[in-house]
Amino acid sequence: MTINKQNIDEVIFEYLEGNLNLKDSNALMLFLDQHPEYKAELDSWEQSYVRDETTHVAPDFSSLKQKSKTMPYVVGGIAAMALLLWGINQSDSIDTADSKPEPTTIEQRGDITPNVGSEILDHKEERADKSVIEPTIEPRNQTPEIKGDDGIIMKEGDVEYTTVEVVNERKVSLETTKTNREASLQKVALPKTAEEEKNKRSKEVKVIELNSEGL
Amino acid sequence: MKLACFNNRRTLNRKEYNRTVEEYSVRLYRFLYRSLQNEQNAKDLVQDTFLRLWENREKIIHGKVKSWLFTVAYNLMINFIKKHSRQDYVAEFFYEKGADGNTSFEQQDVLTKCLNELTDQQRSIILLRDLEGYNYKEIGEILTLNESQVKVYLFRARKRMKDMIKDLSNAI
Repeated sequence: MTINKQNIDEVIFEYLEGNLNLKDSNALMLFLDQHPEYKAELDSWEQSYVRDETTHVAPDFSSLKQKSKTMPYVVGGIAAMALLLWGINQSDSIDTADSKPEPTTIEQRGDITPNVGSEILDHKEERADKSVIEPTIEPRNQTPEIKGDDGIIMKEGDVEYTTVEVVNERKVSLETTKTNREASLQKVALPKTAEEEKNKRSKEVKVIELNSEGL
Repeated sequence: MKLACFNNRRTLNRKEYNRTVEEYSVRLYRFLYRSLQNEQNAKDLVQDTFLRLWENREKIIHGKVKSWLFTVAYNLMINFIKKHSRQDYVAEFFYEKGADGNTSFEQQDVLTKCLNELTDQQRSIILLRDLEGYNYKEIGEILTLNESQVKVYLFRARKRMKDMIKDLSNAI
């Protein structure tokens, strides 16, 4: 790069802008050493650069920020949910304090096991003074299904019922068990069969006797 | 002046806008204050600029916000100066500063005086270059000039400043 009086301003400008390479920068420094009258030019050029040396404090522009419009709704929604949950909790605690919920099944009622019918039958005397409040009948089909001639499904025998009694507010399943009834029936039937067998045997003996007489 | 136009548009959301306010509000103010030498006017123009940014947030590419802001601020400033004649404005400035009498001879004020003598475009180029550190290309984007033009205008502006500073120094 040739530096002369005609282009000295351009070269100084490029130098201060940082556009000169090392070689050209050295050439400029050499020129200024040879022509010290241009050193003042360099100072003037340097002074044309604006530096932020003002002590002026900028105002606060945080008011320019946009606030979220959805935020109040979200907060309101959360507050409403919290209030609702709190209300539900409160009503639950009032309910539990004032009245216990009525149990619907025997198991829920607690101290009675479902299969206590036989025990209660054994203690009929004790049970006698206890009033039956709400006997409920629940049908239970225990008998097998039989197909009739016309194809209609019929159920053999009578429908058995399970009687549920509430004794002193205790629901007790009184399973009038089939076994008890069958046992009683068997007891009645047994003598019949013995007599029949006796009769059969006596008849057979008579036949044998007749045969032997015949012989 | 043509504003930066954006084909690949992406909405500037609220968070990004607020971050832009944090990052650029003071820088814009400094640029405008240096140009106008009036605190209230500079503040008003910063507010106008960010109001426009919010209104046009759907038209602005996120990466171009910086140059968009300075472009709008520069245009608003030019319009403001056109409305208030330059002479009245400069007179107002000297009225504000003239209270203590001596300040006009300080170096900063000499520089400010010289800046006020430049055209709006020259002054903006110098301020964007010296205060914001923008390169020629970025200044070109803001002022819708090409790099060569920016360099030429910057050279002319600095040379004029240098001459004025030299004259003032000689006068003192």
